Amino acid sequence: MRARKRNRKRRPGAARIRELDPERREAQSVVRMQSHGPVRPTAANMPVAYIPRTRELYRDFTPYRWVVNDTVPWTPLRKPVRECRLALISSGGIMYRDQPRWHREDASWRRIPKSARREELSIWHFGYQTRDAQEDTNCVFPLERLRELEADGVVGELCDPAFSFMGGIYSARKVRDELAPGIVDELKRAHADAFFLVPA
Amino acid sequence: MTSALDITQAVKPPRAVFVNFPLGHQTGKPHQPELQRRIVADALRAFETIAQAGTIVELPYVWDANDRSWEERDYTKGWMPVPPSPEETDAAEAERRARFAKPA
Repeated sequence: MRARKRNRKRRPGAARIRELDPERREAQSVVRMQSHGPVRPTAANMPVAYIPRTRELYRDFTPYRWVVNDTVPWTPLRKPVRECRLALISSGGIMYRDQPRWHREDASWRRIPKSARREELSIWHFGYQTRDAQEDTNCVFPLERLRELEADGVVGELCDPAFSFMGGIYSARKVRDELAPGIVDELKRAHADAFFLVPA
Repeated sequence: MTSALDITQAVKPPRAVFVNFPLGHQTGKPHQPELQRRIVADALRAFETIAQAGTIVELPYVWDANDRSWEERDYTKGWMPVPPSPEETDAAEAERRARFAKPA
């Protein structure tokens, strides 16, 4: 891990929020995994730049202030995943049965029973193309896959419930100060060793 | 799990796994449980293989080997469906809640 000097003026853990220069290349390692599955040629590695696209898509609105963190937190995982209690979290706006939908700037979250059947789940989210995920919520909320991996012993235990929120929240402060601490409390109560976060 | 590499590089989570699929498919295509399962299992493996904070592991899955036009269209004007009116949204919400009103 790189040693980084902390900015003493900032509250520990507080993210700096600023306009991100889309041209800026972040110095960060991306490790390509080629041990299994179809291997993609390097020349094809041109991921979509979503920050400029978001700016263009919402050009009539006040520009979104991207969260840019300068430091990376690190907590070692002290046991193998097959012994971990793992929690599933998705920002894809998943609702169980008659749970209420979200509204704009709504930083609440829903508890989704681990045993939920696919037909009991639906999605409300304005910020991404939800058609496929409505058809099969495992596209952004892989509850069924994680139950299988738990049954096969790949995951020690899947926490009950799983969690979802609607990630289209303009206020990064609200996410940092309300939503994130609330879910952290839930994870502590569940004695989760790790969580699998799917931002949709 | 991420499909937006630039956003993840800005946020810098301790561990991340990138799959180059259109947004809304971070853990795979609909009705393809085998693919979904491999993506999730690969992502979980990264919990044990990533040793340096901020590492992003890129998975080798390809959305469509013969057609990459989605990369031009995704998250651009015209890509999102026309949002329903508030009345339509309320009606759909009422229908959903009525459908599930009885306990499981």
